[in-house]
Amino acid sequence: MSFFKQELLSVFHQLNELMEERNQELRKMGSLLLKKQTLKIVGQMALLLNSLPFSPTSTMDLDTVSKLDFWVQQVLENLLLEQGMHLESDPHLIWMPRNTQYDKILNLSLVEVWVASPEDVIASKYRFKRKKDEQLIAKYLQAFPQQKEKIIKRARGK
Amino acid sequence: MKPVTQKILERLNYEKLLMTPGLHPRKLRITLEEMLEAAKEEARIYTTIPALILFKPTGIYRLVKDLEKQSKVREFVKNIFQPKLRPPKFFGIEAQDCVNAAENYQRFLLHKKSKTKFKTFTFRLAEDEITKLKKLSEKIGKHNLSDTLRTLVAEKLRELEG
Repeated sequence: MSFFKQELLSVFHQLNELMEERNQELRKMGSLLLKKQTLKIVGQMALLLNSLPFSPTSTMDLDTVSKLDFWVQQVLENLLLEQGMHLESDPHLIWMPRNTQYDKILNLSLVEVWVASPEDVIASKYRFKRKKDEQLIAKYLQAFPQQKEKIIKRARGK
Repeated sequence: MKPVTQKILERLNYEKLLMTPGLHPRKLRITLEEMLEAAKEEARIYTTIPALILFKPTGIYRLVKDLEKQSKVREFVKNIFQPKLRPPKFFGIEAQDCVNAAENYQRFLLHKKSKTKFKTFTFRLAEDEITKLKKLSEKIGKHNLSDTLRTLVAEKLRELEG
């Protein structure tokens, strides 16, 4: 497992622990407990968390398409900041193909983490064809030439 | 991957500006010209250039001199936070991506700075051990012995923890 993957997974473990502690406090106060949170990761970080035959370079943004509890979001932002990462949780700003496939990579008591399939992440990048993604798309299609047509279709929203 | 790209990506891993699995974070001496060269192979490097120039200019060797030759970079960095004045793109990359990288990097540096508190310890070392430590500091380009010890501890821990 790569160092970055370990670092990121340890952030989710810490988040889970903090949520458990928070729930103990809330229980004592008789307040509503935090519910289990689902994080769906997209973008470059999703590629890092998948096993690819090449190493994709990523910025330090963790893009998610999940709506998180406000307290959880604040805590996650702080935990990520410790690692130099930044949470981007604006689902309305992120375009992903319809019926994007997600794989569950972590299932803890209060946090579960899903990552988008590399194919769908590449399709979302293919749709906008930004300069910063050009090399990545080329590398991916070089590694998986058989997926090209499927990716183009997914990028067109089909 | 070209050696210059690898070098830049390793340094940017170290700076927590980019991450590339399989490359070790290393504090290597880098120049602006090398960054621009490496960015031709990995365009995401462009997004990090303004961030490093603005918030850690000492991280780029010979920056002032090289920046004189790079008017495009100089102008963009100068106006990066003024949407009306800055060009919409920086070497073909959306300006907003550079702004985001710079803001996130600044936040990270401030957070790191607020957390780092140093304590003073007294060590008992033999003369020759001090000489060796000084020699090592010179070889790895550290400014002081504390910095050398911090690097050695971090590297050993990383090695032990795999």
